[in-house]
Amino acid sequence: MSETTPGLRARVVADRGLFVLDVELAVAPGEVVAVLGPNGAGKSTLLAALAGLLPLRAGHVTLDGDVLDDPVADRFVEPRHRRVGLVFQDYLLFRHLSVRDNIAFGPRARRAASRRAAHAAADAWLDRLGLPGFGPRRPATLSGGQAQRVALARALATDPRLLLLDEPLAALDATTRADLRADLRATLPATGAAVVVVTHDPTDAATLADRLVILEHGCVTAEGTATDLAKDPPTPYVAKLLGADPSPTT
Amino acid sequence: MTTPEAETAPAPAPRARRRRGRRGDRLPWPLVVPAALGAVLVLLPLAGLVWRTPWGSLPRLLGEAGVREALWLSLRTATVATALSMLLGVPLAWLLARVEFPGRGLARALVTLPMVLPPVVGGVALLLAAGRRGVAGRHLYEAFGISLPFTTTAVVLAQTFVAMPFLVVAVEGALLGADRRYEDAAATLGASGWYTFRRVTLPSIAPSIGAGAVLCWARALGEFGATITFAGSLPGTTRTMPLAVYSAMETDPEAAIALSLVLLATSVVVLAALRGRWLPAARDGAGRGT
Repeated sequence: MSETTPGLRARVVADRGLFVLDVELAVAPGEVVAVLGPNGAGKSTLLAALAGLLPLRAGHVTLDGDVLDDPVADRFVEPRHRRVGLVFQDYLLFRHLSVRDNIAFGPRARRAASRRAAHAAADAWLDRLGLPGFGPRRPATLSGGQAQRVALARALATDPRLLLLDEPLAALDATTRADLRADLRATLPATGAAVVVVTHDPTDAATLADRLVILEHGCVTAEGTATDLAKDPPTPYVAKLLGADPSPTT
Repeated sequence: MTTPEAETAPAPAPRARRRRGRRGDRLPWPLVVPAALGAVLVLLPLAGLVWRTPWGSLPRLLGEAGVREALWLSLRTATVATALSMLLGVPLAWLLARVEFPGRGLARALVTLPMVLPPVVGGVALLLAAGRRGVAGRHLYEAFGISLPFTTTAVVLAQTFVAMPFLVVAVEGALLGADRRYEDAAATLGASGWYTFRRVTLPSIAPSIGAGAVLCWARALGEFGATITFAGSLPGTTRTMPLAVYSAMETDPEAAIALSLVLLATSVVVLAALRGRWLPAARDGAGRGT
């Protein structure tokens, strides 16, 4: 296992109040992994640690061979230098900026593009995600599904090597949810980034992800494709989760 | 029993106040009487001021050189003091709200000290610090020949000393209430701390900065004790409106009333501006994030 393995390789150990989160995770570029688990299992903590918003207590985070966090080696790369995109559950779009400026925020902040180029790229993202002409709108005027697409575009515009999505479909109504789920299925692998989707919904997980990682009380209790896990569920939670209809619905 | 009409006497004060109009007979008098007296205590002197204003000679009084001088000096110094307070106070509020350092609690308390300190004491302190023989003022004088007391700069410093905490407290509160995850989001997008502050944090607390600046300006405009102690009362140089009111009371009470009316009118305008626009916005600010 060489240090230059592409994609994410991580062992995340972090305190989480009542228990210790201890998770090993490997995601190849272009691969989509869903982290599934009950509320309070440590899913959001895992994402925060990968993004660098929460320093590890032990373990390591390595992305495309670069060590981003390693307490033993006293190495910690700030979130802004990681090229790790994080899409928050409640979007966190900047309310005082237009949709276009929201998407252009990352490239502009890193001086990676001129204002004009960043705006053109933002409009291209909006076209690609089915929101043509939305550039001048304010985030407050968007529906949940639209806001989630803009949040995704904002993260993708920074060309992340690792993309993290926290419950991207949880806040949406059924129809929007199905639409966005299909779009994410098409968009995410095409980004070439390693993708980690946190969800508590087995249908979302089975549709979006190549592989499922089940997280319970801070530990990985199962790992594999939805079909495999449904065939031979290793824990009661997995059995209950995937028992009804393990196969992808779309 | 649980109908709104039935609960009368035990209703706590805020609830009683909330039932506006048409229910006077149900309001508990142990609250209403002191409340009315309190309102009278505040409003009566103001009514007296307006009542005694020599409206006929008002244009002449306000046109006098000394009055115009004081008014212009006050507007200038209060505005410069507010600008200085924003320049220094916003970063100070950010430091107190965002950066963990030993003694932060003490620093917080000390920064707000001028809000409760008698302004005269502030003036004495400024004199001891920045006076020609003061701790810092001595070096300033010896090195550059600069003497601060009894200059317009001293007026600005006195006003800033007294008024800046109002801005700091308003901005610090907004920063503590703001949703920091927006700053996290900016960081994951590659923004530096300074870029995040300018493009994310600052716009989200702008209403509170506005409210704080207005309060700060109003406090600076009314500053008296620290100014007269540290800067004296030199016409044209350090005699601001409040000082002019005070000195006019001895020689020309009518002019004092006219000047007071101008300050009163300014205060009312400031209050109206804050009520209508900034205070509600600042209150929402906590949950608004950006």
